[in-house]
Amino acid sequence: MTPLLLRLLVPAAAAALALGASPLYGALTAQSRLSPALQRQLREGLPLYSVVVTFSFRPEFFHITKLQQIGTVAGVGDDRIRVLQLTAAQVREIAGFYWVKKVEAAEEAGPP
Amino acid sequence: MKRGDSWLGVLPFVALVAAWWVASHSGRFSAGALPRPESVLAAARELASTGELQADVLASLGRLVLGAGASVLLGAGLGILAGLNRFLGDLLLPLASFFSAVSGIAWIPLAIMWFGLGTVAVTFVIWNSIFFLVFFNTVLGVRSVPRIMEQAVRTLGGGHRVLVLQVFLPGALPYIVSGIRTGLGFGWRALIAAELIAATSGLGFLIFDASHYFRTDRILVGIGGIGILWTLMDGAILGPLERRTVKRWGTVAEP
Amino acid sequence: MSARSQPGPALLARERPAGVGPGPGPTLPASLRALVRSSLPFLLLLAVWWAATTALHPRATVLPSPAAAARAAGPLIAEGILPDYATASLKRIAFGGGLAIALGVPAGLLLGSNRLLSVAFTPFLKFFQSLSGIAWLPMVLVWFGFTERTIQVVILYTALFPIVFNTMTGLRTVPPRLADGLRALGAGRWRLVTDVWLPGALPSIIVGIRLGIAYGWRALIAGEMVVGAGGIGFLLFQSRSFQQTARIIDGMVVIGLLWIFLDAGFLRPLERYTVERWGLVQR
Repeated sequence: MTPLLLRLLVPAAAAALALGASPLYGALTAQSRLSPALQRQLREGLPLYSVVVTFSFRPEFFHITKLQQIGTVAGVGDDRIRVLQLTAAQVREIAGFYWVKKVEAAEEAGPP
Repeated sequence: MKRGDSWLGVLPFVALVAAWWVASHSGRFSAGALPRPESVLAAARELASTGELQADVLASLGRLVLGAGASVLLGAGLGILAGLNRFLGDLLLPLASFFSAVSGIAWIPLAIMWFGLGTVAVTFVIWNSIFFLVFFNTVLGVRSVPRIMEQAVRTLGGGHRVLVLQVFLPGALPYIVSGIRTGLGFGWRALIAAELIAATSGLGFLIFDASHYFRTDRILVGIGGIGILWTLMDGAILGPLERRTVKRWGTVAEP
Repeated sequence: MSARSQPGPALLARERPAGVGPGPGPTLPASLRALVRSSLPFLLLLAVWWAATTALHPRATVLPSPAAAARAAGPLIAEGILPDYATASLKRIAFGGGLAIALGVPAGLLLGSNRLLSVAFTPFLKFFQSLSGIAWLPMVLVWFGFTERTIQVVILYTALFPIVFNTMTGLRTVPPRLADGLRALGAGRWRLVTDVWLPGALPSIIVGIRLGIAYGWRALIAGEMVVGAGGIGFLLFQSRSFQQTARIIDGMVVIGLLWIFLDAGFLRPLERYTVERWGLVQR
C-alpha cells in the first residue's frame, strides 16, 4: 500500500507546486505592491481601509468579482478598481495577488 | 438468482418513496423545497395533457439516437479502417485520446457559438462524447485480433471483405460494444447537460426551466423521466446487446 | 457458468474500460525520438487547423487561428484568470471525489457483504447512477442556490453511485471458496477481509473509482457552467457570452490536459497497482 501512496503523492505534490507557485510568489512580493502612503495607514491601524487597485490591463469580470468577494467595489476604471471597507488583512490579501500592479490608499489615488 | 430476488429490488424504492411521502407531508419542508409525491404525479399529468412531456421526451430521445447513431457508425467504421492500418492508427489514436479527454460537455459553449441553441448543438455535443471513445475502442479491438487469424484466412484465400467481416469485426466486437456501452453513459449525461444549457426543448430543458420558477414538482417529473428512459434503454437495448454479442463470439466468463 | 483460464478481451475491456480515459496510459516518452513521434499527431492537427483558417478565413468568433488562440492564453495567465479557475476546478474534484471514495467504498463493502442487501440495492443503485448529478442540478439549485455547495453536492452524488455499486458487485464476485480455504486454515475475520475480500474486490473498486471520477469531472464542468462560481467550466461559458472564442478553445485544451493529468497521475497508477499486485482476478 505504501509504494502506491508514494506513487500518488508525486502528481499531487506536482499539482500543488504548479498551482501554488503563483499565489506564493504573489504573497512574497505583496509588500512591494503597497504604496508608501498605504503602508503608513496600515501601520497606524485604522478600522477600515479604502483602496484603489491598479492593474497593467483592463480589469475584467473575474477581477471585479474577486475584489467584490473581499470588499465592496465602488468604482471601475480603465485600469483600476476602487474597493472600500477592507480590513488590514484584506488589503494584504489583495496586495498578494500577482496580477495586481499596485494598491494605493483611496485618498492619494485619483478616480474612480 | 433465487426466486423472490426481483421483489427484493423493489424494496429500497418503496422505502425511499415512503420516506419521501412522510417527509413532504410532515410540514417541515415547503412545497417548493420538497414537493409531495401527489403533486409530482399531478404535474406529470398536467405536462402530459398538454403534450409538453411527450414532446420533450421525443426531443431528447431523438437527439440521443441521432448523435449516438452517427457516432457509433462513424466511430466503428473509421475505427476499423484505422485499426487495419498501423500508420493511421498510430497517428489518430493520440488525437482520439486527447479529444475524449476534452469530454463532450466541454464542447457545449463552442457548439452554442457555432450552431446557436437547439438540437444541432445538443446532437453535436452528444456526438463528441461518444465518437472518439468508440473509435478508440474499435482501433484497439481490431489490433487485438491475433495475427494468426488474419493469416489463416488469407492463406485460405480470403479477400479484404471476408477479412473484415469474418475476422476483424467479430474479433473487435467485444471492444466495440464495451466502447458503445461506456460511450452511451457519457453521451446520455452530455445530452442532459447540453439540454440544460443549450436547448429550448427536451427533458434537460424541462427541468432547468422549471427550476427558474421553483416548480420542483415539474423538476421531479423530468428527473423521473430521465431515470426511467435510461433504465429502459439500458435494459432493453444495451444489456441484451452486450450479452448477445459477447456470448456469440464468447470470450467472457459470466460472473 | 463457463470459466476460462485466459481472460478474454471483453473481460479485459470491462476491467479496464479503455474509454474512460485516454488509451493504454499516456506513458512518458522514453527518448527524444519517441517524444517527436508522439507529438506528431498534434503537430499535424495544428497544421490542419492553421491551413483551415488561412484558406477559409472564418470569422475569429467562429474559428480563430492557432496563433490567435495562443495569443489569448497570455492574458488568461498574466491576469490570473486561468490559474485561479484551474485551481478551483481541481480543488472541487479532489474534495468531491475524495469524499465520494471515503463514503462510497465502505458503503459498497457493507452492502456487498450480505447477499440479500446487494440483491435488493442493485436496481436502486443502477437507477440513481443513471440519473447523474447533472440531472439533479436544477433541484440542487433550488435548494442551495448558485453556490459552491451546489457544485460540491452534484460532484459528490455523481461520483458516489458508481463507486458504491462497483464496490458492492466486486465484493460479491469474490469466489467464496477462497474465503473458505483460508478460514479452514484458521484465519480470523480481519485476516479474511484484508487477504481475501478486499484484494478480490479491489479491481472492481478501482473501476468504480475511475468511472465515478470520470463522471464527476464532467458533472463538475457542466455544473460550473451553470452555477457561475468560477472554475474552468465557467471560463468556457463566460468566454462564449463575450464571444471570446480563442479563450473557449484555450479553456477546452486546459480541460483536456487537466483530465489527462488526473487520469495518468492518479487513476491509472491506482489501476496498475492493483493489477500488478494481485493480478487479474478470475471471475
